[in-house]
Amino acid sequence: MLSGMLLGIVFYRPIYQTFLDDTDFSKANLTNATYQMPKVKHELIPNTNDSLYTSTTKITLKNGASFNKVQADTISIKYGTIPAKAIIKDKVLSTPVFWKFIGLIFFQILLVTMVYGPIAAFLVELFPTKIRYTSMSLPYHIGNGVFGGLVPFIATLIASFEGATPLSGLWYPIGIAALSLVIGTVYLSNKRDENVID
Amino acid sequence: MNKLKRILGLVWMALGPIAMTFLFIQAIHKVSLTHTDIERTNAILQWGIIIFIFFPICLGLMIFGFYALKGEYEKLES
Repeated sequence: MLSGMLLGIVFYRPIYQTFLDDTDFSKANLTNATYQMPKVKHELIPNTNDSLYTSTTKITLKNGASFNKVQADTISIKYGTIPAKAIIKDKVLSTPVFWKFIGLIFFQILLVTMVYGPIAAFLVELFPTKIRYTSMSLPYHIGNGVFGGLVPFIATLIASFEGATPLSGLWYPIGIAALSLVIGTVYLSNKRDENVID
Repeated sequence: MNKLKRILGLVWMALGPIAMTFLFIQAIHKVSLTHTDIERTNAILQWGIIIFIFFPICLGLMIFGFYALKGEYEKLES
């Protein structure tokens, strides 16, 4: 149970860093990439004489990955063409990267099962019969509901701090897991209580 | 090991108020960032819920630290 937490603490950030890096097509190797004919849309911006020129190009890389590059430029009568930054949409991963991602997610499922599998038996053996139901349900539901349920909120809060990276929000689950790991290692004994069947 | 349990007890006791203070400062800061009345109501509601939920947890962490400091958890090692 504790080793699952430890592995989670160690591997959370590298796993998500891999997800980020492998889906970042802005630095992709464009040699031998095939470009489809761009789909061009021309529309007038309401109440002005300017128009919006949108071109969507589907680019397929050599390794099989593909994405749509959307370039939306404003054509102004006064200022000429005002180019905008290209947006990369509809990313499709290449097959090896796809299976790598599935493997990484499966690894995280393994970590979850390492913690969740023994938890029921562990909580039952930890407390005497009189308070067993309370002592099982209270930490279980606080752990799931409060700490699990507030992850999006707290993670967004952390990501809103100055100098935060897209992965900063991960420090909240990592911190809670580290706290549980320290308390579990230091305070709880894994020996079976002799009065467990009282 | 028993000494470590007692020393960490102090850490848990300190962690409760620190977390609560942090949340309060963040709540005041985030509410002050709002512009319209609707945004303000939403921010106050969200942060009210957050503080309401984390208050008993921090209290529990302090109680846990208090008993750890008192040495109640030394009996568990058999």
